[in-house]
Amino acid sequence: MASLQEFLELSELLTGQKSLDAAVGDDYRRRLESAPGSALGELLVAYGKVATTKDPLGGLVALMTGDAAGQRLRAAAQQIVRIWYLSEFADLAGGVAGAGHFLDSALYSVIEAHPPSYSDRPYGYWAREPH
Amino acid sequence: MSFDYDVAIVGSGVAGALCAWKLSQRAGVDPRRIVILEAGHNGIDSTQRDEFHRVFLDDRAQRFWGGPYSKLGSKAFVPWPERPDRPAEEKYYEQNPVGAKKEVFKGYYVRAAGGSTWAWRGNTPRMIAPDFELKSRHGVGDDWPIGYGALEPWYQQAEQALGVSGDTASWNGLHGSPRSAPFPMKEIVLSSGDRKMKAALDGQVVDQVPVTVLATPQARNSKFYDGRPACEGNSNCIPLCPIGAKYDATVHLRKAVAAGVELRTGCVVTALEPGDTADTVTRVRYRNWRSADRSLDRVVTAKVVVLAANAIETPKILLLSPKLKYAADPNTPTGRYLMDHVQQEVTALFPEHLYPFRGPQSLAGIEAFREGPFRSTSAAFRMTVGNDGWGRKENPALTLDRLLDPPAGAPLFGKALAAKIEDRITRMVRISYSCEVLPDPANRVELSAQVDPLGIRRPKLTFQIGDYTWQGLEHGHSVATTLFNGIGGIEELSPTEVEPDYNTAAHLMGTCRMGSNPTTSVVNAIGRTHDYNNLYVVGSAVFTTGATANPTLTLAALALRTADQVGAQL
Repeated sequence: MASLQEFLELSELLTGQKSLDAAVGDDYRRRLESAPGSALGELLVAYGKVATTKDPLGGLVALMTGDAAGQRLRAAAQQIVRIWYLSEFADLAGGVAGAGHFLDSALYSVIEAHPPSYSDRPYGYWAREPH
Repeated sequence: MSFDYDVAIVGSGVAGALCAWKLSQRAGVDPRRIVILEAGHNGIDSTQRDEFHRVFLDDRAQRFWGGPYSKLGSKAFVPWPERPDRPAEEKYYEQNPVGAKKEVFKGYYVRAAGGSTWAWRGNTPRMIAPDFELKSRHGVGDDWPIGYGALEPWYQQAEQALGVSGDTASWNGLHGSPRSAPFPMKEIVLSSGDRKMKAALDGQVVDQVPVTVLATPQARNSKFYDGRPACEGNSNCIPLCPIGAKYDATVHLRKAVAAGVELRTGCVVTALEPGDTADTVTRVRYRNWRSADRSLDRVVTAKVVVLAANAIETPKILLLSPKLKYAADPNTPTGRYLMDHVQQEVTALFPEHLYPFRGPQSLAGIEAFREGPFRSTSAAFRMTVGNDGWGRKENPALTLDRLLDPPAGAPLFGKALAAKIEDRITRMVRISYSCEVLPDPANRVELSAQVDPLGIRRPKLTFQIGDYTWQGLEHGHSVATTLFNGIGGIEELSPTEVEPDYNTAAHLMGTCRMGSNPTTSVVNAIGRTHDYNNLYVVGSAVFTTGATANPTLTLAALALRTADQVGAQL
């Protein structure tokens, strides 16, 4: 099983988000690893080769070539981004399921909103800009 | 003759719920002698809301409007139209595409206690006075048998009952439609993004029409009202308000039940039957799918029967009734004149951050094109300035998908991805337009040979919108595009040409329309059927024309008015 620390580092690299929640990450890591056809292990191996270079993200993307191996890396990387941004798990066959941490969906903090149906704010907050 | 009940109401959506509640409040009426027969089966309290919310969270990945309701057990027996993208065998309606553009009716609803208001947006503009006189003023469509003035007091009652927030000063007298009292609550405050759009659009003149962005009246609390909280901007109006700040029909179902009305769920009406005289209907035949014998036909009798089952299910019941006149008459107006509002949207990236998805999904609109000389040749439309990014065209999840998997070029990851998401989504905005469809007898609800799980014939629909509305869509596209192009710095305006397709507003109307001529209408001006003096219809099925307003407030006003008449008849 991949280390949580490695998975969190890789997730931060791919999502552009910092300080990802370790407990959520642990859950996501297990889910992604156990999915049929998972390429998370391959992606982590690839990440290990570029992690200490000047541009680890560029190095990783360069490995996402058009061949089968490269496409598996790309798909695995996209799964990681989707699961953190939307708390949605997209399997390799295209099926989409909730990943159980909707409130922690990163996309809504990026756009300075909140996950739909979960406002913890008072009436009229939307009349003011977020910052 | 004695009856099981004084009033039997079929359907517990907003029309049926208001009717039941109004009758229960009337002096001399015993609420315990009112029964509501509802096909669905679910709770009507906060526990049910919480359950729907939990399912929504679990179902989030399915990204469709029916998510919260997807686990209702009733759906195995009481299906309803949901997803137009599903295979034909999963569809509830039978219909064949019509015309060169292969049009189908796309409207949908919820068959549950509380009906479609669980999932509606909550917008409640009134129809305007000219809407009731479309034929007289513009030579198309028909005139209603009642006018705005006659309905105005009932609009006031409906706004009080639902709890409508609105800008009285801006809406009083709009298109010749005066208000006799203020809105019950001040308008929902516009979002910061709405105000930027308003600043950019106000004062533009399009086709010689000056444009102003107005706050849309909404059945959504801008303060604590009727025991329900003020809106907290959960941005989830469709499909579900998690806190009940948005009105839904369970509000009046709870009141009616508390007063003594019986709500009987799991009961699917299969036919109505005459009473002792040929001009009365007193027997309501139904199946209870929650019972041990689902095929057993049961009957309740009532002095007065009110159909409140929406513009698809209500005519279906009448056509299913072999002992009533409708089924045997090939020229019956019952089921005909099916209408919807059809919609398109123009989207763009605004030059500044608008920060959508903060607050209700739509707060502002443009009412300028709901009336005008053009109505003699093309459809009027209401416009919405969305607070939900690119609306139906591209939700945030799809934006992410497209950045991760672009049709050309490398996928984005990391800080570049985050920056791109932030830049795009916070500047996304839509201007939608919702067009009137003229009443056409060829657009209709009939009975399919296909049956549902209870062996009841499904609806068979025929629908197309006609040139008048296609021209309206073209006009709406032109106006929206002109408005956007009047804003400096707009990017990615789309579509640049009007599209040969439309979305549904899910505003089912017209199939038991109101009128004075029994050959072209089913009910009279008070909602009583022409043929049976104790059979009424409430809901937007009675609409003579569709106009441009979201129908709920008008159907609520009509239902309260009809309930008054029913009460007087008891």
